[in-house]
Amino acid sequence: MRQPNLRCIMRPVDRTILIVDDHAAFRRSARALLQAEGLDVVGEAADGAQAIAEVERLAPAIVLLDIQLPDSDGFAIAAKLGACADPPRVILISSRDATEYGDRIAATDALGFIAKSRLSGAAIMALLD
Amino acid sequence: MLGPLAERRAIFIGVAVAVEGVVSVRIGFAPFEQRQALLALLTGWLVGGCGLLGWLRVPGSRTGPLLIIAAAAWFIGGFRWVGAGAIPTVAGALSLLYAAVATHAVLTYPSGSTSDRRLTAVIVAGYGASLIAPPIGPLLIAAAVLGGLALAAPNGALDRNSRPWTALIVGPIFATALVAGQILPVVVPDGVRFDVRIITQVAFMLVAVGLSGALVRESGRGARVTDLVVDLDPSRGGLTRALASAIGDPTLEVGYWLPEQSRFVDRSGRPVDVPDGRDGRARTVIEHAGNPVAILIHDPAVTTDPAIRAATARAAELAAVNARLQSEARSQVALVDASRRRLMQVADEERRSLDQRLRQGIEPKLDVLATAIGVASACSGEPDPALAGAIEQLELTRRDLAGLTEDIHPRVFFDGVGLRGALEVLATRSPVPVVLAWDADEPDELDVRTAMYFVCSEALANVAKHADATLVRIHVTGEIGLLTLQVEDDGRGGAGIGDGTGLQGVRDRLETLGGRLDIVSPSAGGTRLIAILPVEPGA
Repeated sequence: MRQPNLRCIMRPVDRTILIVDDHAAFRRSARALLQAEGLDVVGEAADGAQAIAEVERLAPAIVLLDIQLPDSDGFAIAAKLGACADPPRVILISSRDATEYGDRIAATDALGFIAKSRLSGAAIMALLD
Repeated sequence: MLGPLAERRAIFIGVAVAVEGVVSVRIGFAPFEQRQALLALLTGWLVGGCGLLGWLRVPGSRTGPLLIIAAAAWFIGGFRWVGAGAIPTVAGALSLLYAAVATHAVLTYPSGSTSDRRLTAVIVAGYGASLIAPPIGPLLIAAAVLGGLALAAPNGALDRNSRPWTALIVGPIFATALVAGQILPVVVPDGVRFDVRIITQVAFMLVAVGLSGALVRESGRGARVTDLVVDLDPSRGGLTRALASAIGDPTLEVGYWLPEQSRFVDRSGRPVDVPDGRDGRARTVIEHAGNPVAILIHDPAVTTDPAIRAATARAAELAAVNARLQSEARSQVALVDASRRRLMQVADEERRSLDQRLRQGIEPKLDVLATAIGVASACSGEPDPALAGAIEQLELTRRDLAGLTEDIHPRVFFDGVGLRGALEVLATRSPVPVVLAWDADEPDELDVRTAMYFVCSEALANVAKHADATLVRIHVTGEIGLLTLQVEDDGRGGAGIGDGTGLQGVRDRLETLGGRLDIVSPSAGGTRLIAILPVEPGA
């Protein structure tokens, strides 16, 4: 029987994360929360254009992407990130419930959605699993 | 009608001509010619009487005075026999003057005057011909009558409803009589006793009776024009039609003066081309208190009758004022509609502003608070019931706030969702299953999207609360200039717009935008709500 690839199994999960939200207070708070739960917040972005630039620069494994952005919306940015050569896994966040957006969340390449009030490292890891 | 002084003057002249006739006949006819004398007297009196009648009834026309002059000229012939001297010579030379005057009256009927130079030349030629002795003189006058009518005919005289039609009947008869008066004495065999002068006399009387009768009849039309005022309805083009019929000019156009635009427009608001007089059209400006109220564009032949013109002016003035009032009323309604729309837009803008403040100010703070509690919980290492309770309360607060903002200002306004996306969200939220069908372009106008969203939102809320339905079908269709939204359920039916369903406000919003909301909800079951809104073409 073929032996499992132990090196692959033992590799730590890439927990680098970029927070994209136009409210600095929320970014700081979210950074503190996620770092307290063991995630590696490598950067922040305040709008869609900055988010794309930071993803290219930092190559995070996860992008926490607010749907409501000043220059675009999370759906459009998620589509652009999905077209990258090595796309990060995108998790959409919003102050509102997923039902507010109908089928639009399901229609994106995003990994999932988390309401900001329910944001936690555990919720993110649950989506990654 | 003439004033009292002018009326007395006209009657005096008429009586003078009558007396002239008596004197002329006494001088001109021998005692044994009583029958001929009487006929000549009656002829002159009849012509003069017709002239006087026409003058009194239609003082603006010179046809009446011309007929009186013709009668006076008719009697001049009798003075040929007054004896020796200048009087019989002059009287003899003017014995055909009556025919020239009658020709003048025929060719210028109904005004008694003309500005046409060629027609004036023909009339002058007729007067000249009257100085030429028979048979040439009468034949030339006959030619003048026929030639003058040929010139006048193209100006609408051949229209059966136009008044010059009368001249086209009596003119040729008179010309024929003049010719017959010269030919018959030659061709009638000797021994036949026939006074050919009777032919001319009868034709002369026919001219007077025909012209005067038509003139008086037309003056009656003036009264009828005034009577027509009560039937005038500018909204249906009634003024133009009624006036055109009353004055016998089917080509009549009516324009109303718009002071703010300083131009005449028709009842549809289109500018009216005012003729410059060179295209065979005449214009009559109707004034009120020195200001123009309307313009009549018509056949030049109908301008010459002041009685009809005055009556027409009164009718047009009243109708113009009526049309102006209606126009102003429509304008007021348009202003009210615009005001309603502005109020609605201002209210929507305030809702949008409030929503922005909630979204930008409170929601982010709640998010920060939630994550801060999350940090505290993560740092404590142990599950903390107090923190869990705080998170739960925060979540409830957030949901209440979301519901409040949604009620204040639907999400159709932002996020690039559009109406279709917003309806999909509503369908997702509905406790009753919804099937959404979309066969339209996304409307560009925010007002339209908002109104349709509210229709759908209110309809789905009513279905959830009252209908006891198992399925809702939403169908949006678009055609050129219209967007239609139908919400149909299979519930119990019997719903109405005004029975506390909240649909009245939605209907008001649609009507403000020029749309409508209908409901079909039989008691047997099922309810269908139909909302229709005008949209920009291409939207």
